[in-house]
Amino acid sequence: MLLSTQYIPHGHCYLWQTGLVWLHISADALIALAYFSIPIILFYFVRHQENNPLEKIITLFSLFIFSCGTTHLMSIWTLWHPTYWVSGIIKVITALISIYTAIELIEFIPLALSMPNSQELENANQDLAREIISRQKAEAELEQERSFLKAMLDSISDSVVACDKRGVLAIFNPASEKMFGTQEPLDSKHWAQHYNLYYADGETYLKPEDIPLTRAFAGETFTDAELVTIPPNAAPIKLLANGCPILDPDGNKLGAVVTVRDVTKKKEADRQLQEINAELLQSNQELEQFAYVASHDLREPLRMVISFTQLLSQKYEQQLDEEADTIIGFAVNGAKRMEVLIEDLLSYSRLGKQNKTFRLVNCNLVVEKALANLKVSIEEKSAVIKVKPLPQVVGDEVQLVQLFQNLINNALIYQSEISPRVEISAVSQQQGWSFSVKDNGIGISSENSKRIFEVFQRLHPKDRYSGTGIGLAICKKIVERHGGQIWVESELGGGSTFRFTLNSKIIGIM
Amino acid sequence: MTVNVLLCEDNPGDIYLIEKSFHRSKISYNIDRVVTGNNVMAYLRQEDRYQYASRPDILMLDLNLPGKHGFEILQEIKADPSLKTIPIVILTSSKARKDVLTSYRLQASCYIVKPSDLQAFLKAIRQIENFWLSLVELPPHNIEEN
Repeated sequence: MLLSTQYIPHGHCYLWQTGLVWLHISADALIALAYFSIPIILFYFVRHQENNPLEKIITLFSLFIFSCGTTHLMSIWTLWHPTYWVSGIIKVITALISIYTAIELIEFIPLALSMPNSQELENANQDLAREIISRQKAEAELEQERSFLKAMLDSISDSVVACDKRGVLAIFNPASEKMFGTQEPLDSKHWAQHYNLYYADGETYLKPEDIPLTRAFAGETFTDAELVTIPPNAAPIKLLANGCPILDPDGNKLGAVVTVRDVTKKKEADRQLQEINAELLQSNQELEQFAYVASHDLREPLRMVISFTQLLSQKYEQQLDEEADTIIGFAVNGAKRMEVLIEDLLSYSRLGKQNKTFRLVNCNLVVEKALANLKVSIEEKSAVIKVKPLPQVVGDEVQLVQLFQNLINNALIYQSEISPRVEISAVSQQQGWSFSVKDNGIGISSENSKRIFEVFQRLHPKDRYSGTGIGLAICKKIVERHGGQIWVESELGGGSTFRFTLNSKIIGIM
Repeated sequence: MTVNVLLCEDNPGDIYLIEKSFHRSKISYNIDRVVTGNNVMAYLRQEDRYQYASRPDILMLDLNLPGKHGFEILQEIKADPSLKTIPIVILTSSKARKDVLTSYRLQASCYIVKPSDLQAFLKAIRQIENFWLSLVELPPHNIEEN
């Protein structure tokens, strides 16, 4: 049935007219050529583009065009050979492929419509480029931040360790390596042994749940947790750890961080300070005891010496000559002098013990009181005391009276033959007041101007000028307790001006 | 009426001076002395060898006594209803503020610092005599009697 013998070749339809036959032959041949080459190109395109959504439809098109080409080739064949069954079957195949392609094409339409056109693609490409640039920028910034962070972690002397959200060590700065040795990817169970982490006793390894990073990872926030590390062949290091979990803004755990500080030196310094404080306290107590004994027990034998030497001289008045009186006088004076020295020393030591009871004090009244206390002495020596208006200061009134009294008394004692003149004044300064007590006395040479403020430093023989040599030391202590300084401006034979400052923030009223 | 004075003093020099001064006094008195803190209380409570001791009208008490300190004696006397009315004159070498303060806190009648100078000392003793043994009306011995 497929044989062509019973059919007339198609050329007969053209009456074998050469022109018409050739027209069909050449037209079909050219169509076939085109229909065969198009699918090859399409096929090539599809093969060379991965994930092309058009792959299936293009493949179908290729097949459909290829089969169309075959029908045209068959048209040339059937001009001479009437195998119409064969050509018909080929047409049927072509038809089936075409129909299938057509159906596929209908299904493909929505996808095809949704596919961007070239302008849209262009825009998308530009967006993409911008996105890439901004991402690169963000990455660069991130990198910079990382460098900053790393430099920071590298430079600090405290150990910083952190773990990620799985509890795996993520940050272990150089200070940590110095303290705990090298970082190893270990389970937290083995951290204590590997990193030499002990309780504050320095003997027991930390239990895993007590390791600071584990605690922080468990959600605990803490400060100053004590622990000890003992590096191999080295002395124990006392540490204080602070730690907390790391959470994102929504409260989800990202990990935990712990900082650890070496406090060995601080602890040692604290311990030494405590020891020194205890020693100081004891020494102060002993000093207090000494002062008490001095005021009480030392006075009694002195009194005995004085009283009974005097009694001796009284009782045997008739039998003793003038020399004996002089000798007894030396003994009594010596003992009395010692009594005064003890008193002075005690009042000097008391100055340091008294609590500061500072309040607003009118210096005019202070000087008035000091002068009243020295009344006898001033009258005896016919001294002229001139007091310029003085300010109000914040201070201890009793001590300030003593300060002025000692300075004025000093001016009265250390006098040549002429009658004493003392001038007291004050000038305002940036930080308070500068007072001066000026006299016309014997003066002090410059090499002695510092020594006179030390305890029991005397420049003159006792028989010439009375005074125990503690008055100025007391002055110095009082001024220093008031945050000021005291010094003397003087020259031998030219009088002295004692100056002192009182650091009072109160604006003084003259 | 004879005034009974109990001198609680361990310093022989002071005892000598005080007794010497009292001897010159015109006031009629009887002076007894004890030299340790413990004996002061035994005397006041008429214990042991002091069982015949008479109750003193006034006590002159040094603070720094062997055995019981002056403050302990003060405290015990003031805590004892039968003794607490006896005036106590503290006569001591100590000028320490805390001693002065503690003595008055413990209800001493007065506090006198022994002067170093002989004349001043004798004057002080005379003043004690004149004030406490002459001017002052001392408390009667037996409270129930009144």
